[in-house]
Amino acid sequence: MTHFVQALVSAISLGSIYSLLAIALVVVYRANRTLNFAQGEIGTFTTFIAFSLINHGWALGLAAVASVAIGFALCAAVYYFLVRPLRHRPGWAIVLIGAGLYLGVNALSGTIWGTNPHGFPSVFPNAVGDYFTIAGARVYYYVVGDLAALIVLTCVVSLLISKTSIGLQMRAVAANPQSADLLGISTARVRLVSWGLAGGLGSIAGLLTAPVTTLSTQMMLDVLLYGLAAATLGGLDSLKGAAIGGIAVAVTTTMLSVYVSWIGQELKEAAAMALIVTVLVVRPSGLFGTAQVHRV
Amino acid sequence: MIRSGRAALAAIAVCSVLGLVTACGGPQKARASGDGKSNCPSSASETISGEIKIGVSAPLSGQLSALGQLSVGFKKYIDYVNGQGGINGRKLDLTILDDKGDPAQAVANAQKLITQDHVDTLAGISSTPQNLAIAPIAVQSCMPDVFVASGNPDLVAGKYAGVLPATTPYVAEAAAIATDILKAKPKGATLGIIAVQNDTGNGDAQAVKAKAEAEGITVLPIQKLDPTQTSAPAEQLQALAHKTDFLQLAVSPTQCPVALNALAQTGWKPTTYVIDQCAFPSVMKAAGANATNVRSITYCIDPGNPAYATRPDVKAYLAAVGTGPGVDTYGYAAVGWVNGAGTVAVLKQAMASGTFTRQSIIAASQSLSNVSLPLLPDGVTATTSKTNMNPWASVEIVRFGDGHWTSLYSVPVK
Amino acid sequence: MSSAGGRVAAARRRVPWSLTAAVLGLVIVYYLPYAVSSFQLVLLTSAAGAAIAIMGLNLLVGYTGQISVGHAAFLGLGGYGAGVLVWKYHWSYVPAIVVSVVLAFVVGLAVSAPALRLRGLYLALVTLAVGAIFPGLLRRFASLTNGDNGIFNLQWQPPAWTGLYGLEGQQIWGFWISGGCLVIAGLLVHNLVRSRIGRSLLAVRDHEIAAAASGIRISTVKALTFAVAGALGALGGALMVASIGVITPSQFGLEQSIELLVATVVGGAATLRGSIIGGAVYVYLPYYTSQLVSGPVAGVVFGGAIIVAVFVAPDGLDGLLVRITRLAGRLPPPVGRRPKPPAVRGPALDGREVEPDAGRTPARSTDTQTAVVQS
Repeated sequence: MTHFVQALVSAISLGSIYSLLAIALVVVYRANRTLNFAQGEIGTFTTFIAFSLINHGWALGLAAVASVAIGFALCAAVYYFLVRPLRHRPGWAIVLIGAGLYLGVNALSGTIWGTNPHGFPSVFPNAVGDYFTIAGARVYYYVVGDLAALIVLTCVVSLLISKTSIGLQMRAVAANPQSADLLGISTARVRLVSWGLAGGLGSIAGLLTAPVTTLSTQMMLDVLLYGLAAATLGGLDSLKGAAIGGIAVAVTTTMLSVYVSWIGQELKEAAAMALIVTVLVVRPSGLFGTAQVHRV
Repeated sequence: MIRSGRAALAAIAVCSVLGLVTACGGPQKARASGDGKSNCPSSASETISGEIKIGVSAPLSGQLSALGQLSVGFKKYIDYVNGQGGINGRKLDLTILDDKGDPAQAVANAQKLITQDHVDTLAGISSTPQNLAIAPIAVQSCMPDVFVASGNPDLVAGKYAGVLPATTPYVAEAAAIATDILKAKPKGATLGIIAVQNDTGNGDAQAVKAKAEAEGITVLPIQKLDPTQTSAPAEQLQALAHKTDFLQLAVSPTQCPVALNALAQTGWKPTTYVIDQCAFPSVMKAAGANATNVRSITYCIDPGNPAYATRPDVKAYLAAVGTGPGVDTYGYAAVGWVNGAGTVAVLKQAMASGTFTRQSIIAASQSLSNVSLPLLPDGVTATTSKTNMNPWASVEIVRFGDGHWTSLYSVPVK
Repeated sequence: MSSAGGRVAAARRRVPWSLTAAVLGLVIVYYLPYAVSSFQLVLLTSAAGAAIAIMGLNLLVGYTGQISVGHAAFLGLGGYGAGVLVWKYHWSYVPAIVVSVVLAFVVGLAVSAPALRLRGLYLALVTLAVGAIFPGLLRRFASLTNGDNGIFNLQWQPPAWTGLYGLEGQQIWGFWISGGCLVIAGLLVHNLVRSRIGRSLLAVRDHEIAAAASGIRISTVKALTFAVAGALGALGGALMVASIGVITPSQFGLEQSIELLVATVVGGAATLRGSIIGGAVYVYLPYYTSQLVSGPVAGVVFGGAIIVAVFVAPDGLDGLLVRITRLAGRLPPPVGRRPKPPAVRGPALDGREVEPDAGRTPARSTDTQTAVVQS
């Protein structure tokens, strides 16, 4: 029982971060019907910036806020300068930009900060004694903190989408960009805000991952893959789906790797990929997404 | 499909004609680079004149780039020697190529260094897969490949003539760990192992398990870790927690601090050993307080240990390497310095033998005898023989604390 | 129909030319080792293998419009298929390569099953996932593949009758085999593309619904394309392994799939020349960036180069080449180039891949994001 609860706790801890990244991916998808494959790497980059700021004496909170703001600005800039000019080009042009950024930003982080791992302070208390026990399993405060952050951010983003004017515009662009444009909505501005928002979320994901996995250039590589699985499972255009999808993917893969010895540790990531394939074959719109209707 | 059928037939006809023509040896004869039927190309017996060329292939980028620091330390040593006039007045010319941690790229680099740059020796190549990939090529061209970073038993046993592996062999590490465990708990000791699933992790873990069991230590089933996993090995730790008194982490450098942090959070406090590629302050620093009292096995000293601050070789090292950004002074760069020194020692011995050719460098690499090298523990020297190419007669059990490694005692390598 | 008839006639006229080019190619492959240094030979060998694999990906992506971000898995299937047979079961290379290519063909058919219903981004995701599973499977079946330890010493040594020996001999032999296969594969693909099958690929790419309405069996076309792409990818992968002699699971992962896709598109989608340029890009771009700058900076240059290429060369380097030579008035547009849509009222849309978003008025939409997914 303890083992089960402990595995569940570690899955939730990972899943919260997968969910955050999945929400970022979904926000971009809703705006542009494309995925930003470099979302994770940008998050790593901004977390490294926070690391440098902390080394220069900044307080953790201030450095965190700065890195989120930089993430917002950076992703918005990527949209404006690299994605928007290619809007009339075939879809793979943007996939290629994503690939170039993925490889380039990762290498840039390595160039500036080196490839050794670094310790990174946690926003939530994570000293050795900061835990409580459930059924014999240790639940550290930062696990609860990560989950709380996910819930809060999901609520904030949904409120943004459902209650604000810009949110209404984002919903319009997500539903039908051409009509939104005809109605006078500045799709460019909406997309700028969306990409920026995604950048901010990616930065937060980085800030929450770094204390646990140590800060390194490889930090977000598999987070991106699990995040893709989460977004696919939840439905690429569903925020609620992304939030739930991350936890679902983490719990499913963890339990599979612990209790199905054939899968074990070696195929844990492969199991997440198999999940993507299954979802796309059986129900491409995922659990909560809207089905794509093709008009002939 | 008639069109492609005709095309295919024509192509086959042309190929057969060409095939007959190639039987005459073709372009290779035109190059006249070999001596026909013997095993070594003639260049291996030609006297080396002028600058001595050394070729290194290292992971300067990619996932293993922390190990690339070895080439940084290596280069600093070569620059240091050149600054003192080189070997017997002859300068050293070093070429370092990036293999990105990929053995296929390492092979391509080795081929370039051998056939295009015409180096006189390869050296300092990192990590077992790259070394196993390059070793047959080096042997095929009778190219020495000295002071490389691998503990693989085939290399240690001298299977590839001219390849000198300078890392602690897996069996030596196993023997040292077993000795240390038995010292603390002579009877009834239990050991858990987490091993990253590559040659280094597996090779090390298998050796440790075998030796420990031979010495009466109970070893639990080895827990496997995916090389690409960056998150905490929570399940592996869960499987072992509170079940053993001792734990060995045979994982990659980026995974070590994560594992130590996760270990601390389980509340389980076994005596922990980390594999030698983790045993660098720069790697352990990321684990903060959780790295204290962690043990490891190394063959060279930690230049950051204040106890060694007055040693002239440590002073020379720190003066040459400095502590700037981009240099892992208290990490792999130190290993690179030692490997550079070893390479120069081999070259010196080859020169002193009278004939200075690639063959004589290979012979020298197989016959080092009590050679002194910098940054080694007191009394430790390098000795090699054809059947045991590992230079170290003993290794050190070290313990981490206050930001540096302290040597506890030596264990001889049989 | 006259233009089609004219094109068919032109195609028949072109066949003898392509055959001559192939023979010329083989002759060049034979004599090149005289002219070029050994190491350049090694690079050219890898580039030839990559070009074959990219030809396969190009058939899928450029000619049929199916995005695949998992192609490295096919290279791995070929590389490991041949490698395991040679290393573990002591087969010789020719049957080993044939078997692994056939295996990849079958796997390609299987992989096409989810692809039949998916388009655009969803297809990219499913291929990405399948590609990402592959290294894990290689590691899992370590008893067969030696897992992460990798397999070494797999170089295809030249047979005695060639008179080649040593490291240089092995490099020359590797180049002959890869170069020769490239020429033959190029000839076959060239003929395929100009045949009725090739035209049906283009039809599926440009307007799938209309193609189905014209009687083309979409599922058959897609399945066969995946299969042939897989087979070519496996051939390329096996040749690269036979030349370098080392395989590890991490050589066939997501990063390599991305690099292959980049090389295909940057080389020039939907043209044969583009595939060959793509093969060269795949090998030479990382090589020259790491020569220029050492360390992780090379990755920055590489990533930057991709982004620049997307902006500067929208039809790939081949397109750039074509545009330059067409300015000199020499070349007709190649077969695979997408046709410009007829002019509409209002400002002309930028002629490239306007996804047939049926039901949408082609009015002034200056900020319309061209959909990757047809919505």
